[in-house]
Amino acid sequence: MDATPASPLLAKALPVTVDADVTFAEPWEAKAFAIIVKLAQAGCFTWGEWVECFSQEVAAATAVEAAGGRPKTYYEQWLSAAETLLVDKGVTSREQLLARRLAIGAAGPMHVMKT
Amino acid sequence: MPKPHQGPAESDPAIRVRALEAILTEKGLIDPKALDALVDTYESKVGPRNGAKVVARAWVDPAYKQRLLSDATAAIKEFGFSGLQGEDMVVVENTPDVHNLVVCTLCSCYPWPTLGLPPVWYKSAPYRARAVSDPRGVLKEFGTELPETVEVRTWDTTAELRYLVLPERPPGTDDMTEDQLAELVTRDSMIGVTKAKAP
Repeated sequence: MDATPASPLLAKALPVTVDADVTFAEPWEAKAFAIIVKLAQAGCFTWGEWVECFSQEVAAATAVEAAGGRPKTYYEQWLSAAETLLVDKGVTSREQLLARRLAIGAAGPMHVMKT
Repeated sequence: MPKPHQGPAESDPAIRVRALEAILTEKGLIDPKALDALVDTYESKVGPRNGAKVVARAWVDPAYKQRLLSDATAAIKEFGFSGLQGEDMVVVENTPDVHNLVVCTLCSCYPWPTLGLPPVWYKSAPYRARAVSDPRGVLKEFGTELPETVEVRTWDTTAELRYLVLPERPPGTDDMTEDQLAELVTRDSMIGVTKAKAP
């Protein structure tokens, strides 16, 4: 390369991996993925609308990473975009999401990790 | 597995997903069992073996290859591979003069029905940036050295258009069957970061 990279990301070594990748690292990632696919298939939003919303989360995380911060993971970005889009579409609301999370949290640790 | 950086309960993604799932289930928008079935499909049934069958057919059947290059969505559907992120497919052919590379610069658009879900590096910020700014450097990191005379074309996948690379058929494969040829077609060769395997 003959020029200084414009972003620290450009200088970072690219991890080269073999064919076998873990699709989902944790069960909630698979669930968040499936929710969006099912709702798109059901016509709650178009795939283009999803990609536009998700791209904004990705861009925000990319900016955090470029600035040397710790960005959200890929499926954390996915989940944040899902919440944003479903609130925008009027399917749910921030208040409803928060109330439900607190109810689940109060019920105790339900997702015991088995390792 | 302790997570010291984890904040209060409402920021735990597992709890956030459960909250979302509960609300959507109550509204009748999703069925938890259907979610599990869908995950199983993408974890074990859809993957790059689908795309490999398409490529191997194109290598042995010139008429199919013609259909694939002129209307990829329809030609791929002949195998029954269609659905979300498989609409509006474009197949780009590698030749001795042109090497194609696929990326999604904005997020991670990818042809799911033919390749399954994308690998981690495809979704990473360095790949999304460098596939455009330094494609030859990226290819080298995957062990793909191309002569300077070969033109490298990078294709940016979007929500509307998804690309699949038709790699060159490796030399010395004249006697191989279609099924044997499919074994040489890797996921990475259909993204364009590598060539098909040698026999």
